[in-house]
Amino acid sequence: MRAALSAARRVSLAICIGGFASYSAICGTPEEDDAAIAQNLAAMLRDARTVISDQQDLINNPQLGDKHLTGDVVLAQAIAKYEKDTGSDPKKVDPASRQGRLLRAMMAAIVEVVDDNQPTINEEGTGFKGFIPAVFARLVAESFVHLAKGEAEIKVTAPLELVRNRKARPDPWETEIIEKRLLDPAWPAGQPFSATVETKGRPAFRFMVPEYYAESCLACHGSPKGRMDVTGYPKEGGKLNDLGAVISITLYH
Amino acid sequence: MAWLTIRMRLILLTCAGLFVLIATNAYLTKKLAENSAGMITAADLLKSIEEANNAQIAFGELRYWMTDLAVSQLTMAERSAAAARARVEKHLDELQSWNPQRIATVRSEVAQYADLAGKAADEYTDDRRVIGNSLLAQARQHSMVADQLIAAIVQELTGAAIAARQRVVAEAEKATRLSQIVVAAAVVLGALLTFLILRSIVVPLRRLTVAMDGLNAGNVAVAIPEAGRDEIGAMAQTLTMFRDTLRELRETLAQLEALREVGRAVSSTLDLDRVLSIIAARAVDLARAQAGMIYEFDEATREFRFRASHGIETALTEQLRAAPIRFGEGAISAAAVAGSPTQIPDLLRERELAVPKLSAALSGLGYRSLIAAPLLHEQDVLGGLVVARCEAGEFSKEIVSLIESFATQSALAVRNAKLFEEQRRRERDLRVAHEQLKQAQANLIHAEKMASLGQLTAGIAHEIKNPLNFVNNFAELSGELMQELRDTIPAPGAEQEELIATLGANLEKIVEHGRRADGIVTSMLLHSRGGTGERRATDLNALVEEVLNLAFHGARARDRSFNIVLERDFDPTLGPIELVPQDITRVLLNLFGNGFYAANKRLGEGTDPKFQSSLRVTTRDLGDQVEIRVRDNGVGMTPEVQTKLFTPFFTTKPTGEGTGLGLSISYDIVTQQHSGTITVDSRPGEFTEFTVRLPRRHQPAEPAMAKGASA
Repeated sequence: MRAALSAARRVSLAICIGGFASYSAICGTPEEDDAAIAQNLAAMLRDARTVISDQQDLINNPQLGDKHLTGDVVLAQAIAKYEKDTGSDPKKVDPASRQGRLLRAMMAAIVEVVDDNQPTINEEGTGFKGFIPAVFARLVAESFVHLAKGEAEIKVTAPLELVRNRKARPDPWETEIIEKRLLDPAWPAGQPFSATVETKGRPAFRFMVPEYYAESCLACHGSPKGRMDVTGYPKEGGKLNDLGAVISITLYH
Repeated sequence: MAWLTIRMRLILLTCAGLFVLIATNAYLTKKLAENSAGMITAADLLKSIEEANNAQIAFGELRYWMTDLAVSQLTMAERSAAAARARVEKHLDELQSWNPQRIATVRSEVAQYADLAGKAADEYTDDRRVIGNSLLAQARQHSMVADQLIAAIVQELTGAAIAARQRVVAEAEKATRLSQIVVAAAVVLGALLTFLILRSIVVPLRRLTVAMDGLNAGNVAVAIPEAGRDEIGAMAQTLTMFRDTLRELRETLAQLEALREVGRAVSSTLDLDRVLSIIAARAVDLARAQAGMIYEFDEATREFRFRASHGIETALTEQLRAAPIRFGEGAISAAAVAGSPTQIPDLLRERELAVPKLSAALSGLGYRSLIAAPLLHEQDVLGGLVVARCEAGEFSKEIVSLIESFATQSALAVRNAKLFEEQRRRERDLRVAHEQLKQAQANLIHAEKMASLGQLTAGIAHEIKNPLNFVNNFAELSGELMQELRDTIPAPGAEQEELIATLGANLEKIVEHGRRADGIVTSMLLHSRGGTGERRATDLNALVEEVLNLAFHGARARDRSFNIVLERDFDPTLGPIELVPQDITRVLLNLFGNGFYAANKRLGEGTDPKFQSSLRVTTRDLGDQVEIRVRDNGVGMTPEVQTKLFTPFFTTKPTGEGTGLGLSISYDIVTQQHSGTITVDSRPGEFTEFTVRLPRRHQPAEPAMAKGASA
């Protein structure tokens, strides 16, 4: 039990920093394929978000104008992390495959978001610019939904009381899963939840990856609860390893 | 205010203050209650205003957060909007009771706004901005309506609150003004009451302090404020009692001092007038009177005689001295009878106890009342002390007691004086008795000598008498013979005639002197022999008449010029008396002879041309005794002569005219032979009266130790 909990913490840390092994979607059942795709999409998103997290000092440097942190740069670093975490190169996934299409949509969304926010990132004279990993992840998710063209959706949501942007609000199914499963103390830490359910009138594979607060997360989401964080939003009072976010991926059939 | 105790005054003052305080407080409480109601109303209105304002603010926040939500899409904005909506509802709930209908309208507008704005936010969330804008525009319309409704409510409530506040303020100002007036009046009234009460305490206290200072300084006449019924009155009463006690002590001390002075005077001097004057003076002083008189009672005359005084005018003193008060008259007699002081409170009205002349004299001098206290020794009345004063009214008990004390002292002084006088008299009597005793002793020795001489004389006389008889008889015979011899001589010659005449004259002288010698010898024999006659019942009046005539004629026989008025006052009821007539005859002859001699001697002195000598003889029946009084108006006798009158051989007559044995023999006859008494009373130059008392029946005579005037 203790070994499992320790492993879960390691997984949660890995989630926070984007470290997940790549799942193969070649030789499995349809559900196993969907799970692998969803897992890889989540890994890519988390790795790109980790890059943005790592570059916060650079982004918020007011003295520096052009940071040369373009979409390509971020994607390159994200891919590097992805490869490191999963041991596979996303660019080598068959572009005609569902996974290939969706990974490329994810990578394109990453590039698009970073490039769209270059003026913000490169604004000289402004320290904190609000281009934080969460905003980056939401924007990437929104962009991914657009680029996936109805084939899949991805959303970084959270337990309802922790959701800051109403676009990240869990839908009723997500809310139920979070409350009944992921927040259940007996739920193995880091273990995703997946199910095939009808969503928006279509059969879909839904995959919920829990993410837990790491030490670096508590700067904005920790204590004291209610005190404004650097973004001007009241802290939630979260503690280390609390369920802080859920990457919800929907793969429509 | 002295009719109230200080405690009651303070209680009343406190009650008055409390009444004012309570009344003011009750009024203010009522006003405060009314103001509180107004304030509650105003507060309710203010609360409603606050609620309305808060509702407006919350609605503004709702709008803000809804707008923010539309822009930021942050759930925080959504939650804040929800919270703002809840506050709006909450505040509207608070306002519900004020005007449910209008509040319902506001609720409706707010709800429509929230609904449309929420839908707009959802559209924005779903990136349908056009629809979102449209919905938000609709929501804005409801927002404006709701805002106006709430603003109107706020304005209306504000107006009502201002009106309520103004009413409360007006009422408060009214109550404040009234309470200020009441408080000012209470302060003035309280200050006035406090001043009056303090004055009612401080002023008497200051007077008491002055009185106490006066008493401390020894002034017992100090005025003490009138005693009220309060505590100061009690203090004044106590101080009055203290002053009275001090005054009584002083008076008692003065009385004691006076009594001590009187006692000292009584014991230190026997000058009764001085002592009585001191007593009268002290009695007058201490009785706060103006005059004092002390009378001495004369037991013999039964009169009170003025003896001493103080404060009495000289004229009145003489008047009082000249007018003794008879026992039974006046207050002094009443006091003597009662044995206690008697008062005349008003001399002008008293009739029963007043001595008319004395009362008139006293009242004429301005005296109005008097008190008389008897001077008593045991049951004997010694006199009376009278104290008079110029004001009418009863004397106090203290003064009565004081007068009694002085009367006692006076009685003691009078008693002492009487005792002293008695002592002096007794001393004098003793001295006289001593002298008499010495004289009697000398007389006794002399008598013994005379007795021996008498016996010798009797023997000699007896022996002489015979030869003397012979001499007398033969002388008479010789005289007769000489006459016969002459007759026998026819013509006697001249020489013979002369010789015969000479012989006859010689013989007459021999006879005369022989008879005289015979008389002397006879008297000597009678004196030495004593009474020898027999007693028999005798008519004393007849005897006296007989002897009186005999004596008168005898005297005239011896002296033709002699004359005297004889007065007889015989008691016809005298009856027979047992006596020795010859002896009593001798006694009477002696007494009559002496009387004739004294009266005639005075006549002979010729000092009074109108003088008529007289002798009065009186007999009286005294029952068992009879009395014979022989009174002449002759030269009288000095007391010294009287004491020696019955001494043998004592005589005031010239030699040859008296033997000095007549009264001595008479004394023996009366006292020893007849058991009677013989006394003499005389005043030189006026009279001499012998009184002889004889018992009707013979009684054995008691031996007489000595002969004297009072025997």
